[in-house]
Order: sequence, then structure tokens, then C-alpha cells
Amino acid sequence: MIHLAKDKTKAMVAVHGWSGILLGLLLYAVVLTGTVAVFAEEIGAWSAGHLATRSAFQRPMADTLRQLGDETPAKYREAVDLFETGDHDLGLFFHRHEMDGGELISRGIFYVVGQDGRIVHRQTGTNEDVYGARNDNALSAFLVDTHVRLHVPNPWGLLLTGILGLSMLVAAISGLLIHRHLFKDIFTLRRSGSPVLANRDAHSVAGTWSLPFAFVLAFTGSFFSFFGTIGVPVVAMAAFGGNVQALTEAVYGNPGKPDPRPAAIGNMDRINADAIARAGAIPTFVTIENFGRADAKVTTYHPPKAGAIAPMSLLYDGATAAFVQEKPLIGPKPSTGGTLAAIMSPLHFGNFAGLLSKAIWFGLGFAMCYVTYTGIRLWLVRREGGVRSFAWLERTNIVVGLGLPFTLAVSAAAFLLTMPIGSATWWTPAGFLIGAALVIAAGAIAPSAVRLSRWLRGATGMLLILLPPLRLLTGGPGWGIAITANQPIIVTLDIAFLLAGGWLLWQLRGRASAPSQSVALQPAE
Amino acid sequence: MMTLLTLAAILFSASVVLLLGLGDPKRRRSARAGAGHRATVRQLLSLLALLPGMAFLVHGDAAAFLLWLGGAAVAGWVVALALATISDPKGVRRRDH
Repeated sequence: MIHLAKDKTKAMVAVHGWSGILLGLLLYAVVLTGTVAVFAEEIGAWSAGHLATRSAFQRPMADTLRQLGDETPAKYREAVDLFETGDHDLGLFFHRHEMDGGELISRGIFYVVGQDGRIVHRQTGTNEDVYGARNDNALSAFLVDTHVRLHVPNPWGLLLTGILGLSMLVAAISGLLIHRHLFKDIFTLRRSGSPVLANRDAHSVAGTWSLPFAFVLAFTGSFFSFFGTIGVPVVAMAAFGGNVQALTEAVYGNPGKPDPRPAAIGNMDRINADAIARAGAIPTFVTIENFGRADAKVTTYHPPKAGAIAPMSLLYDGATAAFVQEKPLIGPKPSTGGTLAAIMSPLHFGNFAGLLSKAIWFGLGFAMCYVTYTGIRLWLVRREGGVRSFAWLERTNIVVGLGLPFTLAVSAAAFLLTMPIGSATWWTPAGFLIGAALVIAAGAIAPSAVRLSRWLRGATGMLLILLPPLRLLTGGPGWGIAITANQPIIVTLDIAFLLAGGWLLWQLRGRASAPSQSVALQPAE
Repeated sequence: MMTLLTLAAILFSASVVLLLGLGDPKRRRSARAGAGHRATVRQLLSLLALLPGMAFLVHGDAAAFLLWLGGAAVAGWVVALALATISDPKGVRRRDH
């Protein structure tokens, strides 16, 4: 492998260890919530008991769109976003773009059209109100928000997660440089060895197997965090005199001669049918620029085609509903930069090949959580018997490492209990905070680190087993109904929670009376 | 069809990785299980495990290549954990909190 001089290796070990110790716990929180959020869409359907399978884009919507366009004040017809919300209801956000404190926002009227074609919701607000958490998606939105910005207000939350992504990159590169026997050790797990050896093997074996993806996920995660917070303002300042709206239009818009003459929007049903046929997939999002004008443009966004990674976008003439071209993510013509930007999302979220790619990305995320957790443990056992005691850090590592899954399970339980009464957006984060308070209290009163670990594993296991019955008791659909409705993901997630909870409890079997020691109290190598 | 082919490729590589793990010299030494595969055998098995990925690359199927790479990586880690559990079950219970 890569052989460095002794002093350089020593420096790299220090960089690797300290980058992990200083930011490892926050990084663990971001990676764990990201791992769970890979299945955010499925968790949303499971938690809210969504049974509809026919997309809003497969139902007629052309007449509704025209009718709502007529009802909406002209000032909000600059653009329209169309997307699915709730249980395959159709969301339509008529809006205009404006600057608010240096930030580009959308303001307008948001309508929700139910499966029967009736308007079930109408709301005036900004993009933050429209795309924020709702009662029926509070759990998945909470998971995603924790992963994206740790609930720290923008832009600081995004900057923080971007820095965490960079620290993961630093740890991956320094780990690669200091590991002298990368392939020779790839199957060696000496669990009966000394604590240092056992933890080193656990950390390096998981790290080696997941190394290529540690680079990919850390880089793409940092890209997303820094794109809007640093990249866009810097480019806008350098090339557009600080005008973010002009930059957005130049990069993502559709250039052409403005034609403000009034013209009815073309047949949206025809556009949807054509787009689904061309892309081979239902749109995830549709935008209409210059609604009600002769120069209206419709862009449909689709998941990647079979065998591809980059998502697909199609451009239509809004007034005639005629297909114009396949549209690159950036600029009007295909480019290397546009392709690279387009593949960032599927590479990070693993959503380019359905449940198979999501399951694999979940496994890789889990491996990276394990690498972070065992890395901190390794740092601790290497310092046992030293002048300074790190018992507090060992407890903190357990509180975060084993406590976070418990608190996420508590927030899921809080969601299930409160969604039927319409207060899930408040209780889901509140449940998380209640869970966190319980874990911190357990960390403070547990007689030993080992006992704390057992408490948290046991509590998480029991709570995971309780989630499926709780879902059923609070009005969620049963297995028979879910399968009949062609929504097997509800049953699959129920089984996954039961198995995960059972596995955690099974691990604790017969150890109540076994002598136990914390890593910091075990004999040194 | 493509998904099934990718799954088959992951399973194939995972099986070869299992063979590699079973005969891994360092793992066998630490488990006091005797000598492992010779270097030539290990190199051949490694090449065999990489074959599906190379085929996807040659075919230009980026999605299948990524799925195979990620799936084989997860499978490799699971194989390493499973072999350690089988060869040293007491170690698992002693190490874990």
C-alpha cells in the first residue's frame, strides 16, 4: 500500500484521530440520519399509512390547472410547481420569485387537489411553508432535516454539515494513507485480542470495505451543503453583480425571446402522458415558467432511465404542449459540468435504481456509522491508563452512538401517536427531544458504561418491536389491506422493525450476570 | 431483468469473496486454523470477484457498476463479520458492551 515515512505516518494518525474526535459524534448523527433518510419516501408511506399507488401525474389535471390559473392573481402566475403531496394528491404552487434578505424565495398560492379532483387545501405563503413539514410527512421531513442541517438555521446548518462532510473526506484520505495492510487485513477481526486490537480491526475492516463510498458520500454531501451557501452567492457576485435570480435563470432557465402575449396553457394531460412515455417513469416534479403567456415552458423531471445514473428532464412548449428537447440540468445544451452536477444527487441518495440501490446505500451508510463509532472507541482504548481520564467521552460516545437510534424510534412513536390528531409536526421533534433527555439522564445515572449500553440497546430493541403494533393501533392499515392496495413497503418496514428490535434484544441474551467492563477499564495491550 | 442481472453479479462476487475470506491466510493464522490460500489462488479469486464489475464497465452500464460495487462492498463486510463470529463466537460476546 502507500508507505509514508514514520513521522508523516504519525502526523497522519494524529490528523485522522483528532478530526474524528472533534467532529466524529456530529458526523455520526449526520450519517445515521442520512442512512435512515435513504428510505424517507418509504418511511413517509409507512408512517402515514399511504395506500394510493396511482400517481397524480397519471390522472387528468389539465382542466384543474386552467381553472386554478384563472382563479389565481396574475402576480403569482410567474411560475407554477407541480408535485405529489400526501397520498398521491396533486400540489400546485403558483408563485413569483423575489429576494428576501439576500435570499431568493418563491411567494404565492399553494393548492392541493385530492384524488377525486376536488381542491382540499389552499394556502398563501412562501416556498418554506409549501415544502416544509406537514402533519402526514412530519417524520420523514424531520429525518431529512436532521441529516441536511441538524436543525440549525440556514445557512449555518448547511455550513456545519458541509464541514462535517469535509472532515469525513479528511478521515477517509488519512485513513487510507496510514493503513499499511489495506488488503491483507480485510478479513482479519481479532475479537479475542486486546481491546486496542479488537477495536482497530473492527474499525479498519468496515472502513476498508466502505472506503470508495466514504469518498463519494462525503464529497457529494459537502457539494450539496456548500452549493447554495457558498457556491451560488460567490458565482452570483463574480458574474451577475450579486443578482442570484439572474444567475438562477441563466443556469437553470430556458433562454429565448420573451413573448408576454397572453396564451392559454397547453394540454397538461398530453404533456404528462408524453413525458411518461419518453422517460419511462412518472415525473417527480414539474415546473411551468411564464404561465398563461405565449412563451410558457414546461419542464418535467424524472428518475434516471434503466441503466442510467443521471435523472432526466424534458422540455415542452407550454402554450402548444409540444415536446421541445431533453433538457440538461444546467444550461440549454449538454455539458460535462451539467452531467457531473446531475449525478451528484443519485450518487449521494442512492435513488437511481429503486429499492435495490436504496438498500445498498443503506448498508453502506450503516457501515460508515460503524466506522465512526468504532473509530472513537479505538481512540479511547489507545489512551486508557493515561494521565487524563476520558471516561466522560466514552459515555458521550455511547449516549450519541446508541442513544440516537433510540431517540429516532421515540420520535417515530410520537409521530404515530399524534398524526391522527393532527399535531405530528410539533410532536415528532418533541418526541426526539424527550428521547434525547431520557438518554442523557440514563448516561448520567448509569453505574457503568456497559450498563448504559445494555439499557440503550434493550430500550431501542423494545421500542422498535412496538412500532408496528403502535402503527396498527393508531389506525394504520393492516398487512392484508396494504398488500391488496399494492403497497408492500408498509409490511416490509413492519418486518424490518420487528427483526431489528428482535436482533438487538437477542444480542443481550444471558449477559445480565456476566462480568462486564468498559473499554476504558480493560487491560492495556 | 437488469435488476436481476445486477443481483446475480453481486451474489457471484459475494460468493467469491466468501471463498477468499475462508482461505485468507492472516485471518486463518489469527484464528489458529492453519495455512490459507497461496498468493496465486488469492489473485485468481480476486480477479474472479472483480469480473462482473469489469463486464459492467466494458458494457458502459454505470448504474449496474455502482450497484455491483456497493453491493459487493456491503457483502464483503458482512462476510468478514460472519467469519469472525463463526471462528470466535466468544470474542463477540466479550468485546461487545
